[in-house]
Amino acid sequence: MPGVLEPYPLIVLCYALVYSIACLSLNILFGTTGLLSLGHAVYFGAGAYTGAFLHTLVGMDSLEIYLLSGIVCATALAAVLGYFCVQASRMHFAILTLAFTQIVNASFVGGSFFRLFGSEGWFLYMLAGGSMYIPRLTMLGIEYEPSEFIAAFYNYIAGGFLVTVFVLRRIDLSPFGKALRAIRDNEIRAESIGIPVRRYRWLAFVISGLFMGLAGALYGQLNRQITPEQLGWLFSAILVLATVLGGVRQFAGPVIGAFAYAALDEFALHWAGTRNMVMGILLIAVVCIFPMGIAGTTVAVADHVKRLAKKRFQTRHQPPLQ
Amino acid sequence: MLELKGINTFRGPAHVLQDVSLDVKEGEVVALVGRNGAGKSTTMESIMGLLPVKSGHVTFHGEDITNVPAHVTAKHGIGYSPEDCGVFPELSVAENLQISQWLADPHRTEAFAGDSTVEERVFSVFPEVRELTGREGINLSGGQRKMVAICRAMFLAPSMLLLDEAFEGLAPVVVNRFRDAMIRIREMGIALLMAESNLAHASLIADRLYAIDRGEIIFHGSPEDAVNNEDVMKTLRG
Amino acid sequence: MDIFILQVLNALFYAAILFLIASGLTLIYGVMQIVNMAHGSFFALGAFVTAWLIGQLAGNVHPLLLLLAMPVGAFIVAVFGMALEPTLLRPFYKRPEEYQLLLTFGILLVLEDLMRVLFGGSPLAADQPMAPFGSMPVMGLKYPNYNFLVIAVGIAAAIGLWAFVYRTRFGVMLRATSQNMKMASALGLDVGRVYVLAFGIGCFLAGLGGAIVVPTQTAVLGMALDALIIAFVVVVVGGIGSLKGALIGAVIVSFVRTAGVQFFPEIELAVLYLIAAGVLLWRPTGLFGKA
Repeated sequence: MPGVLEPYPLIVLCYALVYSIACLSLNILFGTTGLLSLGHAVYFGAGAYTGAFLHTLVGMDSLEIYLLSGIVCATALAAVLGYFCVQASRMHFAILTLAFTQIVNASFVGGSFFRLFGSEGWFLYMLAGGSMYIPRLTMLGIEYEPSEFIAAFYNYIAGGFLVTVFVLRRIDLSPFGKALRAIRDNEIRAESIGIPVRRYRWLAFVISGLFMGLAGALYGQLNRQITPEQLGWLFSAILVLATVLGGVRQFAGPVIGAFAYAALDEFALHWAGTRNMVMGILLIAVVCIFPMGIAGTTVAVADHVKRLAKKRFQTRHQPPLQ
Repeated sequence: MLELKGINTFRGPAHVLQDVSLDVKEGEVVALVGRNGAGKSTTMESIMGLLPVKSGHVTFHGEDITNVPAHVTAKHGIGYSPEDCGVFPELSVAENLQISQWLADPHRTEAFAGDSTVEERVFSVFPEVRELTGREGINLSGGQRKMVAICRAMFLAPSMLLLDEAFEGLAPVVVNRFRDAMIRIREMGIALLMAESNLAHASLIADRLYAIDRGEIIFHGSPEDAVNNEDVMKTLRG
Repeated sequence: MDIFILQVLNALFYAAILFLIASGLTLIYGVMQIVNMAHGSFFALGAFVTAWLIGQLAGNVHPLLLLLAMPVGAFIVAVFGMALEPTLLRPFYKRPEEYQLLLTFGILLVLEDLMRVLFGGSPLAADQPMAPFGSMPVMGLKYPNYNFLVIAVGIAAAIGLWAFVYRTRFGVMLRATSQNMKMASALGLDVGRVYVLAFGIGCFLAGLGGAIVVPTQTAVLGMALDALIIAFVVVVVGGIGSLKGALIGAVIVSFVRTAGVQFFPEIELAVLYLIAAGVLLWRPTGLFGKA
């Protein structure tokens, strides 16, 4: 890809792939398990911030450690917060995830999280109001020139994307994935055939948090600046919107949605100030008119066309009536 | 007065009613007999407008009421008591009955009351309901629920009642009590369409009988003919 | 002693506002079984519309007449909600919960920017109605008497709503609809009208909450989401769908929050969410909710 694409389209592709990872991991909760999380930005943000703190506080400068620490931290956070969220009904689940985002976001915007790191942390907060910068880190110990950096980093993003697709696809097709769908379609029946509903929901939540952490960490290095916005409810909403836009019942749906969103985001400058409204209208339009999203609608239309074609074929080739 | 012509109804993707046609004449008692899942309740809900009818027509007093919203159907003078009775569990019996009194068409109630009052006439069918008015819907027994649901439907002063499984789960003694009540209702000039899974109960009072199986009407005639018809009996027994 | 009285008054003030928001949320859920994520936006809309009205009228009329802007503002919110319910929300009552949440979340996003466009991005102040009430000295501070009016409105709303739901014809029909919508319609009740009215009442209460609170603070963007989440904490504690739960939940949450502000100002919000999470773990349906 880096050989084929100009640097700018390559960067857009990188963002699209990072959003794809995030949306895929969100969809294991929403599309597969039927749980709407309005607070997944927390794990995305955790993935991005963890390494940033490691870099500024202890001088860590390896991309591998940056990614790994982000994933570990996001997974751990998802395991703890997810434990509380999955105890609740579906409706309360959405509310709780939203509430947790608000807590975490407020602690970053207000700086109370930075205080945990003493005066050094407070200084960091005073410097950028909760935002942090990430320099170009070393890959396998090698420092890259700015001009070569993105081409090398692309391999990490593409690799991360492929790993995510591979693992989540395996989970989707496994008996565990089937159990999650059973929980989505009928919680009580799922419970009565012996599926440990809460534990499976929690596992889905943790898996989702893990890949969200990966997406966040990749985003942190790609964007090289992270703000508390990446921890907030609006960013969570964007992820949900992209996922639903793509289609939640097809595995590839979230990827399509993420690419569509990345393309839309290119126009975002034109909507400055009414970004929420555009997103809201898009979300309402999708759930009202195309609840199956781009992927689901395409599949449904293709099926319809196929059936029509088959019918015509049959009528044309019917044996003459006796 | 009520006529169904070639009704087709779906529940989700399932094609439940297939070309169902039946009619109920003024003041008549008609039973719709069939096993569980044969389509009796679906027929009732299709008449009430609680389920959308895909094709076919429902007419009542010559007026087309196909797919008319349920609250309009009720205003036309059709009372309905569903299989689960639909008694509002957290309202008192008095409130359950008041609702239909408030919603009833005043002209209709006036005509229905005649010389006495609506209450007198309704409670003459089930006097025991008077004693229940202070209770909450949730604290009623199965039989009491049926009585309250029928009284509630009668407060609308309907010209026809749809009773879904009115005899289901009643003790044998109470069955007779209900049969008398049905006869009393018929005497008031109210036509009855009763969904029944038990042919014996249906033949207690029905003038005519339709048998339904897998969403299709398979028999139409008098209760005696139904009992003598091998095919019908076989289907109903399963 | 004074500080204690002051804190109790603050808590009651806060409880009144919370009850107005949460009772509407819980009423709408009770009748239509839909969780309205845009409910906080109706609260914010009430605040903005009222602040704008007061801004237009202030100086031209007697300050006490400005109080009339509050029910008017709330009424405008109710009309807006009553237009929204049959057009956008109703088709979703039979859809899975996730989609109801998504739809109302979409409405929340739209309203967020709509308010920015209509009223500008900067906070709107409307403290003129407070002046005629004067204030009372507590601990050397001035405690505005207007706050007593807010508490009174909260109490009146609680009594009025209770009487409305349990003592009127429409209340019986409202409860019947919430218990068995199909049966209510088969008895001749136009359920669609009940839905519109219930939604309108819910929006009116939220709008009124925003309207009476706006003189004491300002109308700011972002108050929608704060109100939504705190109202959710209230209904989670009290049990969603229960009016009694909304009242007691509002009182509990406001007293806890007031104590939190006093003793743990840093993590005051976190304390509330932890309580909500605790109640959910202990009693998933809340104190007065039904399974």
